[in-house]
Amino acid sequence: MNKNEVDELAPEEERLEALHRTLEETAVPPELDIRAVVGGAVEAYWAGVDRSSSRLSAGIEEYTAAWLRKAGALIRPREDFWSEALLSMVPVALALLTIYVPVESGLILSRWIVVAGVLISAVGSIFLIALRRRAETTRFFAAQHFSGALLGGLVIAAVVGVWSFHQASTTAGVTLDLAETKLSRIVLSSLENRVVNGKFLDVSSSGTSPTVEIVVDSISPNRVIYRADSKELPGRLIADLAPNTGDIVWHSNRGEVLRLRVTVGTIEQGPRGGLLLRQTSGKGLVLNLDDLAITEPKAGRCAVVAFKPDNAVNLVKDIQRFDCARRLPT
Amino acid sequence: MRGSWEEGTFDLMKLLLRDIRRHERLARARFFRWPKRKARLLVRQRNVTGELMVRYGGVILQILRRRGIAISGFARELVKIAVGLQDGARTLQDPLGFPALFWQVCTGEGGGEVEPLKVKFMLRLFVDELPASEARGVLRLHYGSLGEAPADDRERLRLLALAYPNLHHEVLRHRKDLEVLTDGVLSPELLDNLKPPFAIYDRWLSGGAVANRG
Repeated sequence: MNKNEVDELAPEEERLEALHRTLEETAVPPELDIRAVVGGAVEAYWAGVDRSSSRLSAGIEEYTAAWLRKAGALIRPREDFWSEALLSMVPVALALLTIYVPVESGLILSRWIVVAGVLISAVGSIFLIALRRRAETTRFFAAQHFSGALLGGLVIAAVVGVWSFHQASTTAGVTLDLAETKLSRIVLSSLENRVVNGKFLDVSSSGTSPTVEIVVDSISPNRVIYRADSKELPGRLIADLAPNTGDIVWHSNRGEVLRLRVTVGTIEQGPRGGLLLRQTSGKGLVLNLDDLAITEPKAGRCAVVAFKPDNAVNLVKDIQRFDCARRLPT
Repeated sequence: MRGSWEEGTFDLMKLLLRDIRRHERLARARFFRWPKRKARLLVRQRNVTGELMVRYGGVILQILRRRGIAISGFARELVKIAVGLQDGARTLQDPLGFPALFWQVCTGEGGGEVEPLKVKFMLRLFVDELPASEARGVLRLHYGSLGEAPADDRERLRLLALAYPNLHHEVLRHRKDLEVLTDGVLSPELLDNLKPPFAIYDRWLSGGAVANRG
């Protein structure tokens, strides 16, 4: 500062204006009792110090926060709380990711590895939080950090839980569709073979996916039972075939559900986007081809069809056509 | 208005610091926690902190207003300052650093034009060292205390001009520790260069409201 910077008083008017402004700025609102507010804060703070040093659950934060609320105030530690929660989510998320990636890429096949990873992470987090809490106690923000970190962990656990459940249900659904597709392909081929050559196919398949296995449970000239199993499925698919018809049924703890019906017949001209199949019993069956990317079959050919039975719409799942060189079995 | 406390502001700071250390020791003790003694300490801590906050009340509210804090938020900020003061004092070794700590917790998250108020904040310490007089009353007026000041504004200005040399000499009396006591905003070199009528105190006490006339 220059020594000659200020060496004379400003004009009186200017000084008066400054004085008035200062008086305005320094005025204590009549409703504000500084001693009372400060006194309560000091007591609350030290009550928290005493309590945290006694290793009881409540800490300084709780007391000062309570007093802040009494003083009609917002609480700054709330920001710390959320930032702590967010920060604690990062390492837990990374830990889960490092466990989950090998599972997804096929390096680890068991889902229990993920579960074990989550448990280890949770236990480790709690241990670290507890350690940190002890260290933080001397810095007075233990309770806030602890609860923030705990919230972060809980958010992670909730996200992982919901996500795992979703993954599990999605995986089961996809595997069931895959098993159904594989089984229906074998069933159609087997029925065609029964019509053309007079016998069912005795096949077993682990096919393109090692997760679905198809085996023959029993076989005779007039009946065959195929079974599709998978570790991913909470049940099994069973195809029970007669010479010109059959069902594919889902068996689980909850009971049985008819997934597909299979039948053999002669194709006749049907409605647009569908076909009329004349079954061996002579009954006509209207089928919907909407879900199947095939050209409309020519009338007069024979076909084995797997469809979802429905009173209104019999949606074709798969179809296999062949020439009727011999008469269809009745 | 100083309530029932006659000690100087710096003496109160030293007393608070000592009590906080004692309280800290008792709170951490495994044995002999002396609850009654601790309770007595707490009462004094409460009163001394309250007294300090009242003495600095005007300039603290000035800081809060310049930070854009509404009146409804004053109580919350005062609580934060009081808590911050207790918190910071627990690890403060040198009482000379107390004014700097006080300033730090008052300015908090910053914002607003509070820096011009720093010299005024630091000068508060020396105002109480002046002998009781109308001149001291006018100086205290700048810190929100209406007790000893005359009602007439022009008379106030006249008395202020008379008070500045006294304040200046009082500040220089602490030249040895001045820089530490004032967190570096005042130094003996700076003050030695000032000449009567010490008009720069006008600017300092108004927190920059009086323009520089150099």
